[in-house]
Amino acid sequence: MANFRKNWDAYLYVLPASLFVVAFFIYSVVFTLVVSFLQWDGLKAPKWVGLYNYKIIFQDVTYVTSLINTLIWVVLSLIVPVGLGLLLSVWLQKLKGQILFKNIFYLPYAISLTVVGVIWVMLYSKTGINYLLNEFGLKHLAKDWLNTPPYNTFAMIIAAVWQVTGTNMLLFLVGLSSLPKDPFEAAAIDGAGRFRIFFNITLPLLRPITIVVVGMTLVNSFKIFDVIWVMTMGGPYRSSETFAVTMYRESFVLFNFGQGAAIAIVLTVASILVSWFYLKNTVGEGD
Amino acid sequence: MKKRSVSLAVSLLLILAMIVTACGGGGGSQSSGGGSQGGGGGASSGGQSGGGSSGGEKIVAKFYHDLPAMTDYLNEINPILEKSDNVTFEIVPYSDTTSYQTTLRVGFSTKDAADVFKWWNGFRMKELVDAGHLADMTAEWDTLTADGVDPAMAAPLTFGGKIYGVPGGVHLWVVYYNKKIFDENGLKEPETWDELIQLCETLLSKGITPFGQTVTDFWPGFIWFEDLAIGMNPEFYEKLVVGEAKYTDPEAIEIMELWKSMQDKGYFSEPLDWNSEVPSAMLNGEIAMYLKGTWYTSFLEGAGLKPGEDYSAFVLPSVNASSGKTIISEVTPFLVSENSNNKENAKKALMALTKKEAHEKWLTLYGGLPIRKDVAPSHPVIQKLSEEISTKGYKLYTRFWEATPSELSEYASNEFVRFILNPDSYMEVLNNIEDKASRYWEGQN
Repeated sequence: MANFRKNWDAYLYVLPASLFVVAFFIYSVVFTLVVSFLQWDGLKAPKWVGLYNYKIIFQDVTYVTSLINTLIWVVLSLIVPVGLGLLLSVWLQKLKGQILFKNIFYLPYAISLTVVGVIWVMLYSKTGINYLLNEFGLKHLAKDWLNTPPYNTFAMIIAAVWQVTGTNMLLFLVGLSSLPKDPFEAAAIDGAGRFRIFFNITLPLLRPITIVVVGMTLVNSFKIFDVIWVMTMGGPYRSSETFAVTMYRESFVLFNFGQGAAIAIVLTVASILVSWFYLKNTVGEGD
Repeated sequence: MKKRSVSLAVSLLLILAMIVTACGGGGGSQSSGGGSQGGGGGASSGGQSGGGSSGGEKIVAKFYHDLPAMTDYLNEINPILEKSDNVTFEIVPYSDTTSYQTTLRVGFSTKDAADVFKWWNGFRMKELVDAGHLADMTAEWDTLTADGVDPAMAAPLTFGGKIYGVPGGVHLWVVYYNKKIFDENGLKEPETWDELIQLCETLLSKGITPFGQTVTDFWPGFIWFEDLAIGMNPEFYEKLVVGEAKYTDPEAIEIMELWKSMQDKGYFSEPLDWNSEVPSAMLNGEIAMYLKGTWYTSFLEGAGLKPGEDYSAFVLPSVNASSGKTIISEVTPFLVSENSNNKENAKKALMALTKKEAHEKWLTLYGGLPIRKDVAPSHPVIQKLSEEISTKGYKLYTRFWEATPSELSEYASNEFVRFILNPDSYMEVLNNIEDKASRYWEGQN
C-alpha cells in the first residue's frame, strides 16, 4: 500500500492499457464463459442449460471426431515439422550453398496459410498428385484426397508442415550457429561418432531453441483453422474439423453460440494447460 | 518534478478523452437515431431524406445483401427508381454469407438494424419473425397487389396471418439437360418416373453418365433427397422437415434406398464441382442432366451453353403418380428490419422495387419466375417451365434448406454428402440425422 501511495502516478500510466485489456480481453473471456452455459441463437432469449454444452462435446460423434482431429494435428504438428526442421538445419549447417536451400525451405512461410491451402487444393485435385500417380502407373493409389477421411486430415497436415518446417529449420540454424565449438571438438577428440555427438551434445545444447520452437508449434497447432477452412471447410460431413473449425461453425454458421462458446473454453483451457505443463517442465528444469 | 506533473496531466487528459469518446459513441448514435425520427419517418442517411413522406421527397434506404451480382443490379436499378419513385438504395454488399448473417443478426436488436436486406424464406425467416425483428408489411400488400404483384407470392412470406417483406427472387428446382445428347439419341423429356429410368438406361448404354452430382460446399447434399421425397411422399416430406416424422421412418428409408439404387446403377457421376466442373461436363457431353435451381442458368451459359439450343430443362417426374405433380421452390425475400430507424422509408423503397420496370430488370439479370402478373419470364427455358407449371397444376414445396431449421438442414446436408461418397452408409446417415433432429426438436419443447 505504501508502495502504491509512493508510485500512484506510475499506475496511471498503465491504466489505459489495462482498460483495453479488461474491455477487449477479460470481458470477452467472461462473456464467452457465461454464454457456454446457455442455449442461444442470438435472436431468441437465451436459455440456461448448465453443463449440457460441455457434456455433449464428449458424446456427439461430430465433436468427438473434431477432438480426435485436433489431437492428431497437435501430435503430428509437434513431431513432423519440428523433427524435419531440426534434421534440415543439421544437414544444411555445413552444406555449401546453404543460403539457397535456406531460402527455398523458408519461402513457403512467406505465404499465408490461406494461399498455402489454395495451392494444395490444386495439388490434391485430379490434375495434381493424382495425375502424377496415373502417369507413373500408380493409379490404384490415387484418391479423392480431400473428400476421403481420414486421408483429408493427413493431406492438410502435409500442407501445413510444408509451410512451417522452413521456419523451424531457420530457428534451429540460428541456434546451431550460436553453439560453442569446444564441446564438439572435445567429443570428436574422444572419438564420439556423428550420431552420438548429435544426441548427446547438439540436442542438449539446442534445448533453449527447442523449447521456443515446440512451444510455438504447440499453441499454433491447437488453434489451426485457416488451412482447414480453405481446403475442406471441415468436411466432408464435418470429418476434418478441428476444435477451432467446429467452434467457428457452431458460432457463426449455425448460430449455436452456447455450443461454440463451450468448445472455445475447452480449447483455451486445453491449450493453456498443455502449454503450462510444457513450460513448467522445460523452463523450470533449465533454471 | 515539473516534467513529471506535465506527463501526469497529459495521461489524465488522455484517459478522460478515452472515456468521453466511449460515452460519446453511444450518445452520438442515439442522437442520430433521435434526429432522424424527429425528421418524420426517419432516414438512414440523416438529412438526406428529410421527411420521408412521398410526394417528391427523396427516399434513401440501405440495402444489405450477399449476392455477387446484386450490386450491379441495384446500381442499374437506382436511376430507374429515382425517376419513378424518388427512391435510392445505398448498397451494402457482403461477399461472405457467414459474415453477412452474423452482421445482420447482431444488428437486428439495435437502432443500426439493416433497413432492407436479402434473406432466406422458411425457417430462416420464421426465426426472425418469432424474435420480432421483421417489419409487418401486411397493409402494404394491398397496394402491391393492386399494382400487379401476384397475391399468391405472399404465401411464403406469411407467418401468423401477417406478411413480411416482398419476394425478391422466385426459383424452381428443375433438371437441366444437354439438348444435343437428347436429340442425337432420340430422347425426349420424361413425363413419368418410368420414362426417366428408361432414359437413364439408354444414356448408360451409350456410355453417357445420366446425372452430374456434387459435394462441393456440402449444402447441395440435400438436393436429391428432397426431390425424391416430394415425388414419393410429399406429406411425409412436409412432416419430416417440421419434426413430425422421423428420418428413421420407413418412408425415409424407402427414399434413401431408391437413391442408393440409382447410385448403384451408375446414374450419377463422380462428385464434380457444381460451380465449374458441372457446366463444362454438361457442355462436353460427359453428363446429360443436372438437377439445380433456375438460378443456375447463368452458370451453364457462362460455360458456353445456349438456352433452348444447347440446353433446356424439365421438372423431375414424381416417383409415385399418386404424389401428383410436385416441384421444389426457393423464394428469396427482401425484408425490412422492425428496429431500423428508417423503417417507413425502407418499406416504401422496397415497394418501389416491385414495380414493373424494376422487376423486369431483375428478371433479365437474375432469372427466375416473375412476381408480377403482368411480367413474363425473359429467359426462354424458364418461360417454357413457367407455362408448364401454371398449366399442369404443379404443387410447390419449400426447399429443404429453408423448410427445416438451419441447424438441421446444415447437418443433414453434410450427412447426405456422406451418403453420396459412400452409398452403403445410408442407414448410418439416417440414424445420425435422426439423432441430431430428435435432440433439436426436444430442445424446442
